[in-house]
Amino acid sequence: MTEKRYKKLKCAEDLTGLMERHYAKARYFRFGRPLAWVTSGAPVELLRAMDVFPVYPENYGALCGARGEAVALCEAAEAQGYSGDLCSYARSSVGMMSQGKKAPLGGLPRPNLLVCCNNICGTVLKWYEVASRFYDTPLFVLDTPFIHDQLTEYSIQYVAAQLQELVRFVQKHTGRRLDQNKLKEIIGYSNQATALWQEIRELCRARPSPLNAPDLFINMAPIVVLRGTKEALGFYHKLHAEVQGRVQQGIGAIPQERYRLVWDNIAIWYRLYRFYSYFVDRGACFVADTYTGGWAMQLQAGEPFECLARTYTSVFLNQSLEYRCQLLLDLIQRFSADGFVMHSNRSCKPYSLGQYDIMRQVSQRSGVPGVIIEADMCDSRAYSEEQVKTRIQAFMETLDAAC
Amino acid sequence: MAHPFLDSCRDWPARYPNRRAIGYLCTYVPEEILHAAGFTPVRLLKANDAITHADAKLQSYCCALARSALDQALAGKLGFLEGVVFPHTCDTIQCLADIWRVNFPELFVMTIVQPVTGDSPHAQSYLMAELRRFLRRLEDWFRVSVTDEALRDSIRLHNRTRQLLRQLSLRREQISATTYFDTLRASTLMPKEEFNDLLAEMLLAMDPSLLAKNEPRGENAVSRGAIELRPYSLLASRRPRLILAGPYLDDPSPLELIHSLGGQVVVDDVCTGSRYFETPVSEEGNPVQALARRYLERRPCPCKAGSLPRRSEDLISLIKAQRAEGVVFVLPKFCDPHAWDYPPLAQALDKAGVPYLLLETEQMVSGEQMRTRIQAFLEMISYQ
Ligand code: SF4
Ligand code: SF4
Repeated sequence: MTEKRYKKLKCAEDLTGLMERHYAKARYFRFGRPLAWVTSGAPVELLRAMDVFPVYPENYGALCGARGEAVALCEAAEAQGYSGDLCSYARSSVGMMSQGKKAPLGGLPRPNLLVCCNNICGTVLKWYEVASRFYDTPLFVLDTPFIHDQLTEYSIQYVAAQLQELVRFVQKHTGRRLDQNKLKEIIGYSNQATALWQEIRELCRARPSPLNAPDLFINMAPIVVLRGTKEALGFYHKLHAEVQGRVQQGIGAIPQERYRLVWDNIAIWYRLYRFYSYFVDRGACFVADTYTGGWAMQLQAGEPFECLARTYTSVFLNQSLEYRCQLLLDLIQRFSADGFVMHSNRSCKPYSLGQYDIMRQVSQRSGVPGVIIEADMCDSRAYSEEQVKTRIQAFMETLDAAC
Repeated sequence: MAHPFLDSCRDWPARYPNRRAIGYLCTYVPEEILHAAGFTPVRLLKANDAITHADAKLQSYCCALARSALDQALAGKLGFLEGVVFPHTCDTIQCLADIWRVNFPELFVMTIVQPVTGDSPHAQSYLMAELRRFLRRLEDWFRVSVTDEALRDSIRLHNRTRQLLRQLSLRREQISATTYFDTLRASTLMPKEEFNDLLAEMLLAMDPSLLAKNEPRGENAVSRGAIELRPYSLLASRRPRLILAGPYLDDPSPLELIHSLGGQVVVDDVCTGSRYFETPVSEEGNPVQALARRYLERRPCPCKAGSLPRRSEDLISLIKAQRAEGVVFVLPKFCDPHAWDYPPLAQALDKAGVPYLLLETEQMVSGEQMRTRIQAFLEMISYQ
């Protein structure tokens, strides 16, 4: 059993409860609050401050992926003519729309609004348009110019101006107004939870590391989905205490930590435990990753619209390859890693194209080996167990020789 | 005698030893700015050579244009370029730009991050600031200075190219598909001054009545081998009228096949075709603003937010205006933006009762398969 090699956190039940309550609320207990589908990089604090209830189709995609139910949804989208080469979160979501209540978890509830921010990719622009047509629902697109070298002042002004538009858009379609005090309060919650999540990740600098990649992936859900809520904050307080306890008692996430690795890209959801168990078997623990840290950004102080503009335009997926090289190098150094594994995720071009150069540069500069694994985050048809195993085997041999 | 139209980057340096060139991808890069700074803008297109170097830099799930462009550069075939400019369109181009910069640190590599929401009230001032930044970077890097006057001259020059190409497109039935394709390709590779003269001659040869409209006279392009006029007998026959749609056309074979199998492409909706030359830039007022306007007002590419309704309406009205009987989509594999728009466009065509055919290039193992599918499609139209 793969789960045996996985040391379960006591908080796991809190997390399950939290997420179940979130989906139940979205469906049944919104008490008239309008529901918005939002992308993972949308400035959700603003929506919450206008009393809009956000749900995350990407999180739904990940859930379906982890339950092994994404492929059927992808196939439903393909049957409508959508190419099997498109992002599998997006395909799952499009497939879900046509399945109604028959979809896993009863499907995502119908949106009243769609808010799409392109700071993670261009796919979301197209995907949300499909949703907008399907549900005949208004869509707001927040354009955050990609940062190839530096964040310019006029980009910030451009994004801040659009945030003002977003407020007008929500007001027009829901009649709700922005409560400035509530916005400050929510930004406060958001920042506190973010800081805790960041600290939790930092605790993994300990040897042995208290958490492994699956822990990071599972526990990131609230920082995305419940960002800006008291519930998320409460959860991360509890998680922090537990992880700190592990560190104090010298408890590691895996039985015997021999190697410390860093992960790049989204998880392979349908193999979450089995995939990492190949590493656990050889004493390798993933102590950090580039993905779950993406939501550990603090909202800066100052005029809220400008801060939101600055923060959401600077998310790591909206920044250059050089920036991402630096990020990985920094993780390797701070977490004393012995190697890194990059998931070349055919679903996610913006995250994956460029990995070959990143790998070369990071290996050269850090002196630790890296490997690229070809797969897909949700579409298990693109996953070859044998190939992956061979790759991991070869990489572990390199590590054995290097350490 | 060398063919007057340049057909690839290969012969560029030998042909223009005293010119300076900067490469660019996609029609969202303002050639006018590069030209005004003293460079010949050269569009990077997909070459037909086998990929030898790019596999080490780009995953296989990436469109052939990106892979081929990078491959040509890594193989040293683009050594005459002093820089490469990228637009912000799809995720692939976004990544390609960074890969380029990392691999060619000595080159001028820059992306113009165009807004995705052309209809946002703030897009124009943002884009103008972005174009100005691009201009300043270009000036600083190459130690040149670009005046508004030079920019206006370049705008006029490029508008003329657009106008001439439009003239040609209206007469495309008189020339072979290959000639049409070659001319368009040459327009993105050659210095515009030279290209414009050549195309003007060619047009005169095709239609002397243009003389009255003050088109410049020149050496006869037919005798120089630039064009090959098509025998009129072919024109007379009744051929199904088709529209070709997609991101780019990298070789003329779909056009040729359609023709040889008895159809005709009357108009295309392709970035290496009509999307390149439609929508002139205003020659009045502030040139940077005029350029920005063109990009915001032109028919949007599927990378732009909210573009589908307009693309779909345009396609339907094009069909009506051209009395087209079918649409052929030529989509390269792994091109996300176009793949996203295909199902809704197909749906719009279904509703309008217009047949269509999808040719996914890269997928097509042989030209034979393409031939069979086009043939079946043409037969189906003829029966209707
Ligand atoms: S393309 Fe990548 S960033 Fe965009 S939705 Fe898919 S997985 Fe997320
Ligand atoms: S729009 Fe399509 S064809 Fe053009 S670069 Fe992007 S993926 Fe390739």
